Amino acid sequence: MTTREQFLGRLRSATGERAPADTTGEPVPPVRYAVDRSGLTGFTESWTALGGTVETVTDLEAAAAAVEAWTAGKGPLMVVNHPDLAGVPRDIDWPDCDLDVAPDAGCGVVRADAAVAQTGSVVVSSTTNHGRSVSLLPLNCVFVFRRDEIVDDPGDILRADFGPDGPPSQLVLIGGPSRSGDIEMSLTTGVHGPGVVHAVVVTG
Amino acid sequence: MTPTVDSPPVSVPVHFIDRADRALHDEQLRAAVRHATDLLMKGRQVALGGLEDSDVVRDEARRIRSRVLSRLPDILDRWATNLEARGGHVHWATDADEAVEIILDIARRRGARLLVKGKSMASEEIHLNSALEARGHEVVETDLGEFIIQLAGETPSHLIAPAIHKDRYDVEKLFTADAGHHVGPDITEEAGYARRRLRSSFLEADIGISGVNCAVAETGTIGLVENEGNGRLCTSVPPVHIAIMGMERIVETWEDLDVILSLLARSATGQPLSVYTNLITGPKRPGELDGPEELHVVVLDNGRSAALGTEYAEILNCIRCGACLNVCPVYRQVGGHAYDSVYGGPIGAVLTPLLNPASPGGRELPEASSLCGACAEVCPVRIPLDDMLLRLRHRDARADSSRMRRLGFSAWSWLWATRPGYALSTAAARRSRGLASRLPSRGWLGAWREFREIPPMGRRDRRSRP
Repeated sequence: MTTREQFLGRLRSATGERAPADTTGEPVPPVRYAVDRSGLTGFTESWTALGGTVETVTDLEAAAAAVEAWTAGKGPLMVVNHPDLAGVPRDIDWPDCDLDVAPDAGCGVVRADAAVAQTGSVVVSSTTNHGRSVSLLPLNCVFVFRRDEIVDDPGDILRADFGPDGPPSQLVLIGGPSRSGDIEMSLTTGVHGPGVVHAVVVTG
Repeated sequence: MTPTVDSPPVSVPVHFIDRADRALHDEQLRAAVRHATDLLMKGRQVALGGLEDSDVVRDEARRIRSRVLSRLPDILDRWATNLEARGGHVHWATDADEAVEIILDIARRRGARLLVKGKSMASEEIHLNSALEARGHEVVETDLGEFIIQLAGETPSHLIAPAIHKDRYDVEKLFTADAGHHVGPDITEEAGYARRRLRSSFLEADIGISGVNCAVAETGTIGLVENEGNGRLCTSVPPVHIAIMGMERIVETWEDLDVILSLLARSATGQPLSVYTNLITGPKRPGELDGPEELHVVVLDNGRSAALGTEYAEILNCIRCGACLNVCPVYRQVGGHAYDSVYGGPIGAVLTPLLNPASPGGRELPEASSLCGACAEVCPVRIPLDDMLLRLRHRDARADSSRMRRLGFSAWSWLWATRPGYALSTAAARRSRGLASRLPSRGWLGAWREFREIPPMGRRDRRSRP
């Protein structure tokens, strides 16, 4: 089997130069967009264009009620064990549950880390009280976050300082419902991930 | 998984011209490719309008990618060190066989029965599915388009829309045969069948396999963009995740990644970002309930290093958006299968001779271009694809032109380099008016003549007028 040294050694002889491993190039200017989008208005515009829906509430109590109302009749509810979602009634409590029950959930409720106005994305990381399956396996998914967690551009997430531990094991930007155009380029939603997505933004 | 529709094996013609001819007589294929590529091109144009100045961003992306290439060994080294520090395993594969062997080893060690796969051109390159199936492992493609063509026993015909050549009625037949009951031709019903059918595969799979769109050296991250969620499922649900990465699919920093991501989905599908931008840094960590226990990344050379340090090195800047396919007047007429290579269209016409010089396509595909330059025009990282195609043609012409042909072109060059020589040749051409129509209709001269009108010569030489 080829070792790292052998593999890279061959590349070095092909590129014919050696540079210090820890230098980076010129600073990369931020990506500029044609239209500035920011805050709740910007996010709502982008997210709804992608097929998601948005609802605003004034506090966490109202958020719990909004989640309960939206998820009614959508099957077993899987909710991440986040203090902000403590008021949301649940059938499956994430992560204090058996992983095998995750596929049975009809609706996932996630405390998103952030949202991006420019692209209409919600940002979810795989830290212990977020998990991956909650925003992935159910056909319906609700993302709860605060208005001041909405950033302008993807660069605000991608260029953030992740600290000494680096980025989480999985950081995902989710832009609307799962979609495919693989048959005749015709848009179908919910092919694998959630097909119906809702954002509950806490403004208070 | 083996194809579920029994159809007589269709032999693939050896030469591009014959495969193209077959495609040109397939009206359904041509209409489907035209429809899809038109939509993708329009989408790209609108999406790039979302950037303040897409040309500036494309210039930046080109700079970023070229900087990576100039220091690729150090950047890969740094990335691997960072990923290993976060619990990932990095494997180095010189060629397709070695990559396959690494993956088979992992599958064997894990006692894997079922593997689920997200879309990965690198896995197509190493013919991974057939190798795994030959060793008794079951492989299920999970991207809707890839699932369709796996059932059909075919290969992808477009970088980002692999089943571009199939319509809902083709899918109806394939899914009905797979399900054992009638499915389709309603597209929503067909997609719903795929969701139910593949869900159990995800949950039962021992290993998930994905490609890599762009790795980030400074944190040892791999990035994977997709719209369906199957990529996220492949990389989250099974206990082992294996990613196959072309060795050049990397940038140094997250700032670089921001620039590349701002162009990738816009150029590919006309979206500001794909639905899922998955950025993975190692396997699941202590305390995390879900996510793979093991993450392996197989870094693939497979001929790429032969292009490094050559005039074709910039081809490795490609971010695999597929925009060059959509605008190519040749691809738009014949589709991807006519190229009979993992990579079709202009990018394939350059990559195939470099990655697989001994294949018939290695010689023929650079000819499958009008050199119009539309590909270079739309390339988000500004690869001069048409220049490269021309250079490859020069290279081939120099390498194996017949002596007579070389002599002929030398004589022509010598004749037209002088004024009397040029006058002599035009005088000769005027005297032999009508000869053109009598040129042989067979052989290479006939093929050249078939679609060309030779203009009539004037009676007088303009240069001799007073």
